Amino acid sequence: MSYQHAQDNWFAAIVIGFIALAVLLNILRARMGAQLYIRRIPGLDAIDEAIGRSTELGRPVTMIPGLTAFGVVAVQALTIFKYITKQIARFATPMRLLSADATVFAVAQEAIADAYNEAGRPDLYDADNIRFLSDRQFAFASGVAGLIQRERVAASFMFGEFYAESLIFAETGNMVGAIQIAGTVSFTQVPFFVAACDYTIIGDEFYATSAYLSREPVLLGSLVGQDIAKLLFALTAVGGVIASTIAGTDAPIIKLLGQPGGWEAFWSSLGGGGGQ
Amino acid sequence: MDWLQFLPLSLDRISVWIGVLCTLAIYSLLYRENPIYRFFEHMYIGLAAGYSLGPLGVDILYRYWIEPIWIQGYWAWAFVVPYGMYLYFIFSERYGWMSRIVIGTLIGASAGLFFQEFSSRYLPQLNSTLQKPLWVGSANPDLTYGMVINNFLFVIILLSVLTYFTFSYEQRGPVKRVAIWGRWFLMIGLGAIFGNTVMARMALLIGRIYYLLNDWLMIRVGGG
Repeated sequence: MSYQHAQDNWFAAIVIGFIALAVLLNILRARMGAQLYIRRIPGLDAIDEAIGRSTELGRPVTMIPGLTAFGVVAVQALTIFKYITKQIARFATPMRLLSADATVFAVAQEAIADAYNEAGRPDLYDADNIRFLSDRQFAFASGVAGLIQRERVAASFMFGEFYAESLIFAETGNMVGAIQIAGTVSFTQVPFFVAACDYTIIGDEFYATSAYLSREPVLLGSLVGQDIAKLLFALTAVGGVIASTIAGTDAPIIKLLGQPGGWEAFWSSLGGGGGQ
Repeated sequence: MDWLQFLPLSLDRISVWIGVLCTLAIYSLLYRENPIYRFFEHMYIGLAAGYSLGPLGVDILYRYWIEPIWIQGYWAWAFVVPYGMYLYFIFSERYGWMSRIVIGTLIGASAGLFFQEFSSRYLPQLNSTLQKPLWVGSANPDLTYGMVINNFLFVIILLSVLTYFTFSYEQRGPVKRVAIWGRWFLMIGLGAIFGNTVMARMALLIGRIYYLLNDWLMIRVGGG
């Protein structure tokens, strides 16, 4: 038995339904004009600092979405890159966006062109600055490392999903003295960014960053909805720990809260003979 | 050393020499960017692009398109590739909107699949969290005091890290202190991951050095 279908465990379906409801209601609130608060992430101040340094030095900024395939993470990364592009467009700072996914590359071209338009500098957009290098991990890594070295980039922004190539990017950036800001949801790569970058945006802060920078109602509402879900998880965890301390880890209430088949076990223990 | 065996005079030795040349050329970036690195970097990217065609044809087009249509008879799959090719309209100013249909499908599919992934990835973690009794008693006869300490640490770290990762209110007072503790716990965990992965990377480096010494220079090391 798995967690894939609602009948395997109704608690899973209820939790997902609750989270979806919390997210949707908050998106609705944001769309109706409610001012949803997002606390500022410390690494965000460094973005402007890094752009300023690139402008002073006249050297390019690189934006790397990692090996992110097109999906939710890629969209969030491109949202951040759009913000950065709008900032660099004000000073005509050169930029390079390096992609390992053909779809992300195609969408990035459009997103960056939009960013230059929104900044009022469509003349600065050059499609050649958004580059697809390779969809092979280490071929992509060698391409990025070579470009960072050749162009002596002044600032490097890495947002997205990264794997073993993360340290290659961060170390190469470090070698040329670039200010580096990284944010990833790939938890195992965070330590390398923490060690080699100037600022690191960790885990969920990545989603908060894109919501904070874009002020998009959908992203803001999602973030607030997720906070509500985290509160629900914390309360469930505390309640469950108390229940398992008092009634034992095999208690039906513990099985009910998330084990496949737990729903039936819970109803059987109450004498209901199954919940279906 | 037998010089004739060392020189690239057989097919095996030529392949070893090419491997060594590639390894040293790519490692030369550690000193500085140079024309040799640049040549091998471009060659690597070119080879990767060429290599990608193989998996694209065999693992994707054949397995997920040709085989289902021609062998299994699922003719409806015939529409998939033309639909996917709408993405190429992104290069057309006039028909660029058609590419967005495919992009929308991809985003929708990834969001929908995440619901399923959420259940199978996070729900077991949540249930495992609940099974952390904090007291030795008749309800948990197999529990030891060591496990209780472990469970206490787990719950404290979980709640403090969870607090750190909340964003929709200003963290101040005791909440801020809990979040700071969460950040510290997180850093300790990340340090452990860092150490573990550095060991794995050292193993990769040792593998390369072993290749240079053993296969190329024919100096037998490590009982290989």
